[in-house]
Amino acid sequence: MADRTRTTIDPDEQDLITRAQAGDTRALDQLLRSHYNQIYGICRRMTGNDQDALDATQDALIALTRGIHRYDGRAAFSTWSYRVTTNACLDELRRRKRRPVPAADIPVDTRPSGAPHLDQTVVDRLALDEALTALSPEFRAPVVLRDVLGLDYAEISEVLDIPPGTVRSRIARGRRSLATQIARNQPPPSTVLHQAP
Amino acid sequence: MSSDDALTPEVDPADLVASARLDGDTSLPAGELDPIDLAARQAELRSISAMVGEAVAIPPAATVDAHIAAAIASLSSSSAGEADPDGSPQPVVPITGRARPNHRRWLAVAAAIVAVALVGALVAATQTHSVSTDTVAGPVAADISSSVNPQSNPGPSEQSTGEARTGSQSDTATSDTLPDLGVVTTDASLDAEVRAQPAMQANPEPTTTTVTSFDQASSTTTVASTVAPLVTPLKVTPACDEAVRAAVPGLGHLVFAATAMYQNVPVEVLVYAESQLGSYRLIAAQTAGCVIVANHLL
Repeated sequence: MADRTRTTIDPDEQDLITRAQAGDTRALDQLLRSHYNQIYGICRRMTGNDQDALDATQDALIALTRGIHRYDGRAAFSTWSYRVTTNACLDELRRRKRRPVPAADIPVDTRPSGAPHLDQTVVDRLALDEALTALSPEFRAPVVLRDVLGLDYAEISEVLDIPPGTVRSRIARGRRSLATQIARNQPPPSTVLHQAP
Repeated sequence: MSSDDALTPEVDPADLVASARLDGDTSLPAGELDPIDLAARQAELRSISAMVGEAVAIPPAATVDAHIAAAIASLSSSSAGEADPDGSPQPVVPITGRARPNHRRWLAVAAAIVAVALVGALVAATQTHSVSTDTVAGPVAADISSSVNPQSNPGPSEQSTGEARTGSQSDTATSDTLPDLGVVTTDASLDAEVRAQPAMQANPEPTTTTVTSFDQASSTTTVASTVAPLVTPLKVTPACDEAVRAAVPGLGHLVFAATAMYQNVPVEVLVYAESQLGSYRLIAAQTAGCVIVANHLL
């Protein structure tokens, strides 16, 4: 299983953490930057759209900043930061449920039946966003942590605080649900027009 | 194969094995599952996994900078225990804007525009009014007045006059704030001393005065002579001014004030514009009691 996270703390990162906990804002800045892409990646896939992802990312960064002094080093910093980020994303999803959804954010399949499509990649991304949005967060989170960050089951278990076996089954169920949803939204292959290179 | 997740009781065993193997977990036995079907499922789920894992477009550097800056800035506004790093973060105001009710925003913008317009109109009206009068007001007008009047001779009284042009609040003068004319014994010598004062020399002819107007729109300055008496009031109000005005009705603006030892008595020397006669009236009043001891046209 590919693992793109650091299970052991990098000495340089440990130094940044220590300085950040002591109030060194430069170190904190550097630390947040080094994890920004992963944080945004989680949020983008968890929320399914750019605007909510930006909001959730901001919330996650603020939560990390305010809670940095509580990080005790028992888990990898990345694991801790993903946990905070996942919670920020789940909060954002809960808030989004409570507020009216702007028309532009409502996933609507505007493709007329039989109409040609400009770019299959764009269609795939829209279909994926739609399918992820339809997927319950309980399944979405482990799938995202596995496929976006490459965390193994044990790490996902630590982040989400659920047993590894549950992680495995939720990922399987989530992937199946995504595959079904995407296949349902895909236009027939004959109607897809690939852009000329 | 039983599911270990209550939320997914109906997970397909073939999907579970295919997904686990995709992640490198071979602990689940394939058992009686069809190898071809298993491979097909694995390929299908692999494509889904690849789609989810496809790199997302990272926001522009400016957005990243703003996010991080806002997060660090939140340190100063946060209080201890406000956020739980292991739990859900507290609701915060995101730096990235979310659609908000437009009518409130427009109301705020409209109110700001109206306020700015009102303030602008008020300032413009004030400047136009004050600059066009002969009692020049405002620093710009004061500078223009001094530049077009070569007779200006700044002295203590002139400074007071100048202040009067820029200010509106009067102060009661004490004897040590007024210029001292020294010892004078006769009306003639008193008149001579008063006329010799720079403030009086600057405007020797009460029937001729310089009117300066400044048009801000065209940035032009116009100078005109009129026959109106000099009515440049002093900023200060001598102690005897009120008593003298009470005793001598019809006095115009106080244009000069000083102290003197007149006929061995300390006095305040007050010069008023006589609007009807187009001249000045000099009045000397004893400092103690404001008893008038001299009253004549200058």
